[in-house]
Amino acid sequence: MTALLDIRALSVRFPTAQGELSALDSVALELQPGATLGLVGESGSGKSLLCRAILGLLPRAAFVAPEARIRFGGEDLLRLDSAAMRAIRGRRIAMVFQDPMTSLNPVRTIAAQLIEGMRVHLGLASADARQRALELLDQVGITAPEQRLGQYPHELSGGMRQRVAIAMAIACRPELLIADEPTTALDVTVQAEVLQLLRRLQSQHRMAMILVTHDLGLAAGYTDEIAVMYAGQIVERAATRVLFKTPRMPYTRALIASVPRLDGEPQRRLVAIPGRAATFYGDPPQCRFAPRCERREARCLQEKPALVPAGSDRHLYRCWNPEAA
Amino acid sequence: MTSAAPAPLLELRDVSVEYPLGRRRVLRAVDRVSFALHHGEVLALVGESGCGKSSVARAVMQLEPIADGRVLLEGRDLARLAPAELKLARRRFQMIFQDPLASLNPRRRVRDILEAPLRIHGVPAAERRRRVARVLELVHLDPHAVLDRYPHMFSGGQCQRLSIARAIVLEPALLVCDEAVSALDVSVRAQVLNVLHDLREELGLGMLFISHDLAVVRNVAHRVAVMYLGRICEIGSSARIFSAPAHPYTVALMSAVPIADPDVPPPVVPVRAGEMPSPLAPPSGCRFRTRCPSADRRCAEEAPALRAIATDHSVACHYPGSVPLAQRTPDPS
Repeated sequence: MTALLDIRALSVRFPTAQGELSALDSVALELQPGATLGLVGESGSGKSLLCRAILGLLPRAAFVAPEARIRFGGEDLLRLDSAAMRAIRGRRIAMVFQDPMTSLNPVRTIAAQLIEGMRVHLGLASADARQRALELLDQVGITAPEQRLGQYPHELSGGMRQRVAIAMAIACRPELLIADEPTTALDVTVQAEVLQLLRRLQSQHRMAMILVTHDLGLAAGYTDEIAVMYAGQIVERAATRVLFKTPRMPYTRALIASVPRLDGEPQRRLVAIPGRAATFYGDPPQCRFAPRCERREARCLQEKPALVPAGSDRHLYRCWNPEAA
Repeated sequence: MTSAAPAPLLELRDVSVEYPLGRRRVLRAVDRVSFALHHGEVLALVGESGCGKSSVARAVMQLEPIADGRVLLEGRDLARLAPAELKLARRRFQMIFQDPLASLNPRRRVRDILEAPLRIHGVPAAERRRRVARVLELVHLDPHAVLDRYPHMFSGGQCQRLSIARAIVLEPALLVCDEAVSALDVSVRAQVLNVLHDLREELGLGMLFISHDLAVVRNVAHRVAVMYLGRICEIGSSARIFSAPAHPYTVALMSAVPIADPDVPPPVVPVRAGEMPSPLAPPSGCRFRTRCPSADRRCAEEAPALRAIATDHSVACHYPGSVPLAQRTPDPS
């Protein structure tokens, strides 16, 4: 099967006074049509920047390595001009952000915002677009859609707004949905509803999804495959179950262990990772997690580990001294 | 029966908090909330945004005027203290906030930030230095490395540990934590939770721990109070609340938490879709009835009182236990 999205050797750097800040380092990913990839990492690990790269929304100052490729349905997104990218963004690749107010215009009605995208991208007549907007609102579980169309974003609750943002994102039947922390700002009962909604829409339209999250619980329940990011690199990639059962990279294992669980022991100390993630410049010859790693050896600070296969199941990790399988 | 038990560390009796909205309209964010917290105990206040949990914290800290009821700290009504007495009493209760960087003055060195509370309370210089070194040790920060630096030079987790250090430098008996770990990354959150754990063990600190994250609450709390729309709907020991939640809302909250295990099926929430109604127009009777699968006429007519159903377990529901908590164990299929 050919991948819907195929990213190779994606390195992104930013020139700074201290040198070239390495924000993404040789990121490689594939995503099949209809599949869900979880992008897990802590703040500053590069997961949001990776999404922006896919959407062609990198900041101007960003320097992208010449050998980098982001193939989407046969085209290299890094080599499209901005007009060609606009035709893809919002239509074939859509996005949902953490704060729905960043994608909703506060001074326009829900109807105006939902209909605009469909008229621009799909060339629908106004009446048809309105009819489809009603269907979409119904699909994302909004009651009284007729009445909602005339309302403004501030008149809706947070969960409602995120549903509208999702309706906008799926309006043009995208092949890929990038959901960047889509439920982080929502209450937990609403979070479950929104994720179920995304999952249902995904199977109905065979839409692939990249779910960016810092919450391993979410990633466990809603993804087929997970890529763990640390300091701009993918440090481990595996099918979701494999990653949770046999993490090889010490960072992945520590991350799983540091999450308090509802079914965990009360009043217990948690496994904490000492220190904090550093920023790296250039291409340092070392493992980026090594300064915080309890399995560190001399080599970890002298040579950069490559992403190597762990055997079966397309399981990859980046470590000189991995955990036992 | 009058003199035996010592007064609880913190007691709220029918506390209500109201915010004036102008034109004589009033938003009642907290409605007749009562609970007691004992020395060395961690009571978690959980609920979704807008349920009033932060207003309770602010009422305890005397940061909001209380519309009704009494807040007693070690038996003393805080609202009745003269300003000078309240200032003295404040040594006994301190608070930490969600955004660690915003709660530290960016233009002061760590040394000044940590010594400020001691200076306000007239502690001499030598004693100040000794106490600051001691609290930094308690939060696992190296005094030599931090004292002369500014808050922006630290990460979020370190800043939160600094605000904890500042909060405990006066040796309080009660620490109010309002979403104190919510803004932190998971690996750092574990560091801060471990610091709180150590403080409980070493200083016997009592904590009012406000959080929306039930997994974190499971880790830290001895007792749990669940709030919905300004009222407590269930309160009890952590063991009871997590193993046998009786209020349909508590069951819904617990069912909705994702579990970091790919073999546990994703959550199914047993309540009607939708969100909390506006506190400006709360439903009649039971406030949760508009989303409750068990609601009937009685729930619309009569507000359920908080009633004990077991030792240290009370629930405000006409049909406690009517929504069972589904077992969420790994499904190997």
